[in-house]
Amino acid sequence: MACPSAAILDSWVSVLPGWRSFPSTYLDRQALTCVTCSRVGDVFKALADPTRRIILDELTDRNGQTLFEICSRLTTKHHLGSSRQAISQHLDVLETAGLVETRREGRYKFHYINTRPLEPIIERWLKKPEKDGLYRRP
Amino acid sequence: MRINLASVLVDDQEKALRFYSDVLGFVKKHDIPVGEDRWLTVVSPQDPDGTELVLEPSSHPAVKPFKEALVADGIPYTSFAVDDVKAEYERLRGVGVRFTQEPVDMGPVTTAVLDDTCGNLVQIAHQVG
Repeated sequence: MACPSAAILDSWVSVLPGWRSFPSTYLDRQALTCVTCSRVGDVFKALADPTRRIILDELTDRNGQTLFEICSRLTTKHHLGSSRQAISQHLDVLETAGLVETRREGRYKFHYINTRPLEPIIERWLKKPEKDGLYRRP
Repeated sequence: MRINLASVLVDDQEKALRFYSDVLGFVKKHDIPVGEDRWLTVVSPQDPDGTELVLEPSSHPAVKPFKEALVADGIPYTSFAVDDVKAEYERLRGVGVRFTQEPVDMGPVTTAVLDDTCGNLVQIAHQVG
């Protein structure tokens, strides 16, 4: 079981007091970091794909788009050859990560961007370790 | 052999005639009783002898789920050419038409998508340049 952000978390999780009393086998530490960071992993996975990043760009340009509008923009503005099926699957991945919300409004379905899942990622890297005693390196 | 007809499957033929003529600006051409329905067609005043749009009933059982699926995904059933999508959008919004997609510059074309009140989405488009 591979967790994409385990390596990132590992660097600051290991300096927490009492960490050494936790099970120290590799698999157990992987399991612990996977449970805590599975959402973060989804977000990284969602952002890794360039087509999905373009979808987020387009929803930032205009929020609340039908699948048809998203497909049209990707095909005609970005010359992407993705099928409607493929784009629909990209939207599913973005939805799992919480970056896109689908809302039913009457007979239509609109897709909206949600940037909240990005906030903890940005906060983690913008936080200065020296300012916060909990993260002071031994 | 020539392409002389286009068609759109409408929930209600009378309601469709009102929308496609009074709102979109097409003109009735044929209106012939066929059993319980009508052979009902409209044409563009810009092209009265050109392609006719048949406003067909949606009575076949396959039609309702088909239309609902297209509408949910925002997919228009057909597309009409206009001189200026933005101007047409403003005019149609002024008379209460609901759009699922505002005018968007898609590169070679500018498009918008509206609800025809008869179970379909319809695109309007103009070519740029």
